[in-house]
Amino acid sequence: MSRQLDDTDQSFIAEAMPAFISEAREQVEAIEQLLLQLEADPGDRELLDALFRCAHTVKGSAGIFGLDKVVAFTHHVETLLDKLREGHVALGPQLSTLLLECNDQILHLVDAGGDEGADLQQDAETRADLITRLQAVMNDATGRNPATSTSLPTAPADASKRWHISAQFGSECFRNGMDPLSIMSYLGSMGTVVAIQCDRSVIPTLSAIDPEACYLALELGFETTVDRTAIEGAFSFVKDDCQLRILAPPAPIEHFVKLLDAMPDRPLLGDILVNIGAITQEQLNDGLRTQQAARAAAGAQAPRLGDLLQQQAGVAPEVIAAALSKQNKREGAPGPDDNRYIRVQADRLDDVINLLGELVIAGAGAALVARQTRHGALIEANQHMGRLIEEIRNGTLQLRMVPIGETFARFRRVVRDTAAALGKEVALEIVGGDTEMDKSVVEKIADPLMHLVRNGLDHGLETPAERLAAGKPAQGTLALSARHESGSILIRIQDDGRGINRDKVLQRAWERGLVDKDVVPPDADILKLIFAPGFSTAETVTNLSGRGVGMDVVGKNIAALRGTVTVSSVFGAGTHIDIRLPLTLAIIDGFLVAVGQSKFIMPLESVVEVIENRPTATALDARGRSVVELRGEVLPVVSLRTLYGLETEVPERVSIVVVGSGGGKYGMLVDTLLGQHQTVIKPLGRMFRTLRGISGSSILGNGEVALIFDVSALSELAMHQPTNLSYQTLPPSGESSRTAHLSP
Amino acid sequence: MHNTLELPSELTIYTASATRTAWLAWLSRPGFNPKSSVEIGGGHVEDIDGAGVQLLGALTQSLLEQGVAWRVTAPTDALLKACCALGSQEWLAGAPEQAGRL
Repeated sequence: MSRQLDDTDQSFIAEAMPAFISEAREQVEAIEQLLLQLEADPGDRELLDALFRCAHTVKGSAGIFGLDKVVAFTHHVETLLDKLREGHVALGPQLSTLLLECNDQILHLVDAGGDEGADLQQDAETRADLITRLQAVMNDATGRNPATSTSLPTAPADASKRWHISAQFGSECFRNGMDPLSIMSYLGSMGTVVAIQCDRSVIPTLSAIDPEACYLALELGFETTVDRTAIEGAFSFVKDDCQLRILAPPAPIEHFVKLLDAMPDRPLLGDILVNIGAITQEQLNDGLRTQQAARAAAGAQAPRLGDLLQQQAGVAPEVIAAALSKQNKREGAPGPDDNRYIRVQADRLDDVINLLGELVIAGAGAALVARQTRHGALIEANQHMGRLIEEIRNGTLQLRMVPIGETFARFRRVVRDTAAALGKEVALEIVGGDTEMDKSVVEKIADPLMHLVRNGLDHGLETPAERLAAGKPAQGTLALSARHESGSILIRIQDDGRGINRDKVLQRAWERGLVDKDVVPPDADILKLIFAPGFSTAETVTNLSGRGVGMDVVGKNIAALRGTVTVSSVFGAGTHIDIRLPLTLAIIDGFLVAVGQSKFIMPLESVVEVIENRPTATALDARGRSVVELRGEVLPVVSLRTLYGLETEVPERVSIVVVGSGGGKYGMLVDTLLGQHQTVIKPLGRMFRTLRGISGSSILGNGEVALIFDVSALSELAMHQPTNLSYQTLPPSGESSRTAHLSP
Repeated sequence: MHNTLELPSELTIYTASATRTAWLAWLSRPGFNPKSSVEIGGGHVEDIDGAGVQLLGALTQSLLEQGVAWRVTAPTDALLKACCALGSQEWLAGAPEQAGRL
C-alpha cells in the first residue's frame, strides 16, 4: 500500500535509512552464509528457520521504509523459503545458486535504498527472470510429493486445514482506498470461507456513524492448503491498518510442542513463538507494545507477555507453557535485557578514541609534572588516574574489536562461485575466525584478502584433471587462517596448488625490467616480485586476475595498515601468503627506549626480554648490524644509532631489547630503557613515510615525539646476518641480563 | 402499513455520506411511523462495497435502537454477495438471532 508521506515521515525515513541499509546488509550477508552452510547440511532446521527469519526481517524493515521493490521481490524469496522450511522443496545446488542470485538482487535493491535511478532496466529484467525461476520451483513443488532429501517433518501438500481469522479493520481503511470486501474476495481465491460473521455491535447507528470510517470487524473460519504467511499476505495491504489474528488449525498444540522440543534453546519467549509460527511478528509487536504501555501505567504490575499473547493472539496456554519451559531450560540464560546490543555510529566511536588518545597524552604529561614536583600525594593521585585511563583505554578499544571470521565468511561465496566459473573443485577452510582485531583494520583488509583469494583460485589451484595428473586429490584446498602473534595479527592464505614458478617469475621480471637482466636475486626476493606494479605471469588475462594490477595494490594497502606481507611457495606443492597486521590503529602498549636524545617505542607484546647494562664494544657493519650470543644461540642485533645515523655520543654501556617477530628474535641496541608506555599512535608525516622500520609516531607526556618501530620491517634489516663479524658472547645469566616483566 | 425505503443503485464509499444524510432525513420525516415495520427494497442495488454494507448495518442498528422491525426485500445478487462476503447476511433477514454462526 502506498501512502502519502508527510514531511515528518520523510524526515524520519531520511534519517533512519542509513541504519536500515546497514542492518539490511547484515541480514543479506547472513542469508548468504546460511545458504552456503545449508549446502553442506540441507536438512538443518535451525539454519532454515534462521534463513527465513533473515528474509522476513529484510522484507518487514523495507516495508516500513516504503521500499516496495525490496518488499515485492523478497516476498517471492520468502515464499520459497517457507516451502523449504515446510519440506515441500529440497535445497539442492541449483536452488542454492538461484537463492544466492536472488540474495544479490535483494542486496542491490537495499543498496539502492529507494533511489530509482540506481535500479536499471537490466536489474528489473534480472529480477523478473529470477521470479519466474522461483515460481517454477514452487510449481514443481506443488506438483510432486514432499521432498525426500531433507529430514524435515513434512505434511501432505494438499491437506486442507481450517484456520480461524479475526480481522478488525482500522478506521482509515476506506479512506486509504482499501476495501475489506476485496480482501475477502481475494481470500476466497485461496480457500473456502466456511463461516463468517461481522461484529454488528461495533457498528454505530446511522446518526453516530462516520460513513467514511471503517468499523468492520470480522470473524471467519477459513479452510485452505496455504500457510499462515500466505494468509497474512492477503491482508498485507492493510497490514498497518488492521488488527489481524490468525489462529492455527484446531490440532496445533501437539504440533507446536513438538516444534518447540526440536528447537534449539532460545532466550526469548516472543522469538520462540514467532519461530514456530504460533504468532506473527506483528502480533508479538502488538503484545510488546501493550506490555510496555501497561508497564508505563502500572509499573511492576504490568501483565506478562505470555498472558497478553494468550488474550490478544489466542495462543493456547499449553503452547505458552511449553515455550516458557523452553526459555527457562537454558541454564544461566541471560534475561531479556542481558543480551542487548546498541548500534553506535562508527564516527562517534572514532571521536571517543581520538579524545582518549589526547587523554592518554595529557595523563602522561600530568604524571611527568607530578614526578617533577616530588609531591608524594600528587604522584600517587596521578598514578591512580593513569591506571583508570589505562582501563578506559582497554575497554574503549575493545569496543572496536570484531572477529575476522565475519570477513573470512564472505569468501565462502567467492570461492564457491569463482571455483565453479573456473571449473575447479575447491574446499575453503577457515581457521581462527574468532580472532579479534580493530574494526577499521578488518574493513581495510577485506579487499586485499579478496585479491589474494581470487589470485590463489585463478593461478594457484589447478583443475581437477591437472591435480589428478600431478598425483593430488581432485579437490584443492584454500585455507584462510588468523591468529595473534607477537602483538600483531597473522593472517595466512594457503593453497595446495601448483606453487609459484620462480623461473617464470624471474623471466617476467627480466622482461619487464624489474630486475636487471641475468641478475638472480635470492629466492625470497624473487617471490616478492609478484607484488611489483605491472607484474603478472598469467598466460591469459581473465576477468578474475592476470592483469598485473591487484597484487601491487595488495602490497600497498597492507603497508598502509602498518602491515607486512610475505610469500612462501614450494613449486608443485602450494603457496602461503602471510599478512601481519597491527591489532589496532589507535593506541598500543609500548616499550619506550632512548638513543641519545631520540625516543623510540616498540609494541610491548613484541618485547621478549631486555639485557641491561652491557659494554658497548660490539663490532657493527655499515648498517649497524651485528650478532651476539645469547644463552648459546646466535642473536642478530641492530644498532639504532648507526641504522638511523643518530649523531650522538656513544655511551660506555648499552642495553639490548630482544624482540620477537614472525621471522624470529633479534636485538636492538639502545642507550636507555624508559619502560612501559601507553602509546597513542599518530601517523607519520609524508617526509618520514619512507623511513624503514618505522610505522608511526607518538607524543610523549613532555611533548617530545617518539617514533614507533615496525618490528617486522626492522627484523628484515637486522636478520640478514652480517658478514666478517665475530660473535660476541653474553654472560648466560646474572646481573647484566634479565627478562622484563611484560604484563600489558 | 409498512414504511418503505428503497436502497439506491450505488452503495459505496463515494455515496456513503450522501446516502447517510438521505436515510437520516427519511427516518426523521413526519410520515415515518416507528410502530410499523420497515421494508427495505434491495432490488436496485447494483454497485456496493464494504462501506455500503457497513452503512446498511448502521441503518439496521438505528432501526434496532428504535425497536423497529425490518426486512430487506428482493435483494439483488450484488447486495446478497456483498453481505454474505462480509458476514452480514443477517442484516438482510432482519432477524439477527438467526444469523449464521461459526
